[in-house]
Amino acid sequence: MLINKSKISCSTLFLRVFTWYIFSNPIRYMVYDYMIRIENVVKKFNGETVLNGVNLEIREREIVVLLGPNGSGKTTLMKIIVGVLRPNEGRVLVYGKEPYVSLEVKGKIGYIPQEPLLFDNLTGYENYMFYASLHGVEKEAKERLENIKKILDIGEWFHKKLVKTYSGGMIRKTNIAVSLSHDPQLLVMDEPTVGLDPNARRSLWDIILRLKEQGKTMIIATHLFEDAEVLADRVIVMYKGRISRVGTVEELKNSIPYKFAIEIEFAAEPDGKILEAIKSCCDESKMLKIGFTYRLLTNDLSIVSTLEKKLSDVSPRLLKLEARRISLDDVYFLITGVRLK
Amino acid sequence: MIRLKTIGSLVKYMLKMSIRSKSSLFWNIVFPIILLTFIVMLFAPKPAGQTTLTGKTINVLIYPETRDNDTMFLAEIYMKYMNNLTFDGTRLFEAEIADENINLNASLDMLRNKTYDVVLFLPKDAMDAMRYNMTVKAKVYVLKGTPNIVDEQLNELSITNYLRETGYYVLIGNYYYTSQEILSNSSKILQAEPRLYPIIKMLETLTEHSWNNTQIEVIDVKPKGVRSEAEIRPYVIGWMVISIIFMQYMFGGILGGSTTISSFFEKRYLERIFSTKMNPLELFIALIITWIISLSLSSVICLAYGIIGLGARFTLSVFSLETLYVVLLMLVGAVLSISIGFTIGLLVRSTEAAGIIANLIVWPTMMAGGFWVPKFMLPESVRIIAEIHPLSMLMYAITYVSTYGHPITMYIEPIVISVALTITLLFICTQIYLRYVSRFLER
Repeated sequence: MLINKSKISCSTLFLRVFTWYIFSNPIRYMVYDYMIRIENVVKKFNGETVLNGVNLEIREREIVVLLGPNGSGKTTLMKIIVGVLRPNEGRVLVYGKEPYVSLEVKGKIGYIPQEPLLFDNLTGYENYMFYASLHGVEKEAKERLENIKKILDIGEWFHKKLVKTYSGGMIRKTNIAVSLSHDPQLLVMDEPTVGLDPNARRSLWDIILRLKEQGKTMIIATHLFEDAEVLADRVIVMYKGRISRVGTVEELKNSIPYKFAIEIEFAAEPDGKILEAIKSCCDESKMLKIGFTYRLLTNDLSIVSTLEKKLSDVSPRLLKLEARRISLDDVYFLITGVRLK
Repeated sequence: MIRLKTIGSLVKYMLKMSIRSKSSLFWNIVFPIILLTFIVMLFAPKPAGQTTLTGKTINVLIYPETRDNDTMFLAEIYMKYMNNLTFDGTRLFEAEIADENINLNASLDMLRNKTYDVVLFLPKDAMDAMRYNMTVKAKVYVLKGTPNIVDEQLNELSITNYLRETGYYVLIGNYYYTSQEILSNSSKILQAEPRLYPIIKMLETLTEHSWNNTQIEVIDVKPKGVRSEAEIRPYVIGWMVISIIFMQYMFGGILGGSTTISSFFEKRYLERIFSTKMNPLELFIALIITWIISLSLSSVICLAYGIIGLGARFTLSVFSLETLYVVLLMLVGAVLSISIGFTIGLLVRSTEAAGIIANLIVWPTMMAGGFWVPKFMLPESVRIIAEIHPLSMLMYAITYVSTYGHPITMYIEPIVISVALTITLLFICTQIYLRYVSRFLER
């Protein structure tokens, strides 16, 4: 009897677990599981380690910003994700497959390199169709072109003019359009805002946010904090081939013990008296020196008025004294010990 | 798995790019046409109705030792008669009298720099020698020790023969007029001495034939098996067309191919291309096909221009089996040149270096490989390059079959060697490409 009861209990348990697995897995996949899984990736070039044990998971429909200076390994990591490079150790899985092995999964990835790498003697449309043909989706690409043109605000020039006659803005739009030709789920953008003026950068942010609305997952490499602040669902702080910190912008800001930054800028190198005056006001704060500027990271905004008073006594050459909320720039500096700009 | 449709699309777009590139259009279309026109104009035999070869006219500078009336009169007589002599419509001599302020040394310098072929020096007693001794007296300066011995001999013999003839005519003339004088008084002489009759009779015969005692008829005989220049001209142009097409293979295939593939890597297009579903072999096949089409297009335009514009002819009929073989051999030539070009580009991996190395290979082998000048005109030491150069082997096989009408079976050996080399080189090139493509991306 006891044995019999135990048997029933085992069967029931098995049935429950099986049912839970069958029904929960698609939901689990859709909601919790990861689109990209980067497992302990190591990449070396000529014996030099560029990526050193990188682990990361990225969900669908997420915008992840890789933040780091040149040489931090952002571009290399992106090239491995798009399947152009192969890691020396570890692996990258996109939809469960390694992109540098599986051509199939490359059809789900769109790569927007920093240099446009477009063919000058073709029109934007021909470049678009050229890359669509490499994916073998020319017919589908033609059908989705109107929608892409709407998102990117592309005009007739796309069909009529050769790329070599394009302005910078036209090239950037074409560069994005080309990588959307095969309707990828994942867009990997390498420094898309480098060299753009503020207006162009804002319009690019707008495009990226519209693409997010379309359900795209995006990985964006940048060394500009504004990009991360505006676009990132999560920021990955990279430094010397490693991931130093991961989190939302707010999480990263909250991860350091300061809330405000006070910038004090002088016209010339401040002397000992000035330094003494500053130090006397902010024992609890962290002080950074950047050229003729001192940045105080603090939680106490009241020191601003004290500082102003003391400094006006000792330094007639004070250019700026202002307080602001702590930024990603400050966070990055505190995490890595280096400044990005 | 190779996707043919994708390769087709890739080829289509790459050809579009090539057609829109002005430099590519120039080097693939305009340049071979200019080169062909230039070579045909310079070296092809002239069409019917035009004189192709003219006899040599010997330039003579008559240098009188003194400017007195007698010597100048003699110089002018020489000049007048020399300039009137022709052979088959070509003047034998182009004579002129040296200017008063030119000395003998300056005249000889003009001989040395080939302004004149001969300097005819008339000494101050030349007129007296002719007048009183019936002797032609002159010095003839001719250039000796040049590489062209035939020319030297021709100059010397022509002028000395002319002067000997002149001496003969002076003698005959004087003899004739003296004989006439004797014969006009022959009746008186015979009355006085009748035994002189046979001598007078002989004198009459001699005088009658003194100006015309030769009956030589020159009859032109054509050499056996040699056609007229006008007849062979279309086939020579055909030979030149094939030559230009192969030169184009060397420029476009080796030089263009090497720089294109290295620039493809240098500009990092591969990064973006290989982030798509494209696999490296598909791209390589597409590049090879694009290049073959591009070279074939250039060849067809050259051929059409040669036939329609310049009148080139071939011994092959359009729909014969040999024509098909020739077309296939042309394709082999294109693939061979592309393989050489791509191998250079892949090994060097820099557009600039690839251009330099390809030029270093193309120019000497083109000069020594019998592409610019026919193989048989090359020095023996250089001809060996033409004998072993695979593109040269192919070109000569095609030339002999399509312009000389030789059967293709005569050239089986060079054809087999060239085809085997082409296949081997293409295989090596593909292996290098596949091996290096990942390394390129890692740079």
